[in-house]
Parts: sequence; structure tokens; C-alpha cells
Amino acid sequence: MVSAFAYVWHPDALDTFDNYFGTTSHFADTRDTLWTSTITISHWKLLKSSQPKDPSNRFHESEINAGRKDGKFPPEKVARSGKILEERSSSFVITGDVNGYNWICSIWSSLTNPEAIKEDIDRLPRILNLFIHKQATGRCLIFLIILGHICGKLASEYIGILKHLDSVVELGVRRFT
Amino acid sequence: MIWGGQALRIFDDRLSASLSQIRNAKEALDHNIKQDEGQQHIELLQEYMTVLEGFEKHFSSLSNVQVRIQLKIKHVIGLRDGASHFQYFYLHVLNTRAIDLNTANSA
Repeated sequence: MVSAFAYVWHPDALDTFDNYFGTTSHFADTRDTLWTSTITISHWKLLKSSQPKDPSNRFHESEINAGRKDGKFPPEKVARSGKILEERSSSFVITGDVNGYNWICSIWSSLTNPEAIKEDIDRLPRILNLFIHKQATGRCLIFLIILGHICGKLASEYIGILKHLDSVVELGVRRFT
Repeated sequence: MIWGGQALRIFDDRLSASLSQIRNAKEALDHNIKQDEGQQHIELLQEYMTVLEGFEKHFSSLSNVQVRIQLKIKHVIGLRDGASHFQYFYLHVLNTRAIDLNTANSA
């Protein structure tokens, strides 16, 4: 899958795919012979420890194939909760000509899925039509829409992690009983 | 509790870095849009404002998560400090009683 993106579908976005497998957040917007707008956000994902890991799944990310670290959350010496926290990234890149006319967009993220992002994707043709004479602006607005979607999903993921942490540590739930 | 505090600090650091890059992205895109002068027509301006509001709403929800994390960190620090003060007070009381007993016995 990674090779297909890197060599066939979106070779101009190789740097982004490289960042995706890292552990730092990064944004860049460069415009010389090619206009590249790319962002990678490093985060965690809360998973059930009982969730089966299928190495044959083309989207499977592990320490071996993707350098993803994970660990019990919380550690067993604190409590047994049956959850794992796994390091992940979400990357999103648009590359194309400097005037914003023709471009390719790739989204790599475990925070969202085709059903969840469909509503935002369906808005894009209308916006591009509206900005047909200002295509650079249209391209930037597309980036903002998708980035906003990822922000919303990331907020939900962190809220889920905090809820789980609260349930284990009970911070602020009861002080005196 | 100590573990919880450490976990929260790690979350805060990572989320802080993410928010910083997202802010950079927003500023860069805004700059590009202004350079393109893509909002001159009223309909285009309205659409631009709609997209921007949508983005700000999602970005705010993520920023609010960071605020929650930082409040929890302060809460943990407060609990830890409270526990330390209680421990100090308790030891102080024990010491005082020990001195009183010694004084009474020697008298």
C-alpha cells in the first residue's frame, strides 16, 4: 500500500509519507516548481487489548512494519483496564501546480473513515466550482475543510482517552467519601 | 496519581505540538488566500467565512481538550501538594507528641 502511494499514486508526497511514520507533528507549505501543502499530526489511539491484530490487513500498523509503539494503558502495576494506547499519526497532503489548478490530495489517518469524512468531501466540488477563477483560494479552503475534520476527530479521540484515564485514576470524581 | 500526572503531561506536550502546527497551517493558508485575493466577490467571501467558521469550531474543540488536560494537571499537582502537606503535618504532630511524652516521663 505504501509503495503504491509512493511510486504510483502520489510520488510527490513522499516526504509526507515519511513523516507519517514518525512521532512529531509537522506542517509545511512550499511553492516553487510544485506547490506542496502538507501536515502530519502525531497522536495516540486508544484500542482494546483484546482487539485482534491482523498482520495480513493492508492497513495494519505495528512496531515491526511501521515503528508504532504501544503499551497497556494504564500500566498493569496501576490497574488492569484491557486497553492499549498506540502511537499514531494523521497526515494530509496536497501537491500540484503552483497556481492551484491541478492537484492530488492524500489523507492517511486512523482517526476517520470514508463514511465519516464523506459529508466534508461532498462539499468540495461546489466550493471548487465557486472558486473556479480563484483556484489557489479554492485549494486552500479544501485544505482547511479537511484539516478541520481531522481536528474534530482528534478532539474526540483525546476526550475518549481522558475519559478512560478518569475512570482508572478517578481524578476529580471524589475527593472525600 | 503520579502515573496519571505523568500521562497527562505527555498528552499535553504532544497535543501542544499538534496545535502549534495546525495554527501554522491556518496562518499560511490565510496568507495564501489573501495573496490570491480570492474573497473579493460577496459570494466568495461568504463561502470563505463559512469554511473558516467550520474550521475554527473544530480547532476550538481541540484547544478545549488541551485546556482540560492542563486543568487536570493542576488538579493532580494540587492533590499531590495537599498529600505532601498532610504528611508533613502528620509527622509534625507525631513529633510534637513524642517530645511531650518524653518531657512528661522525665518530669
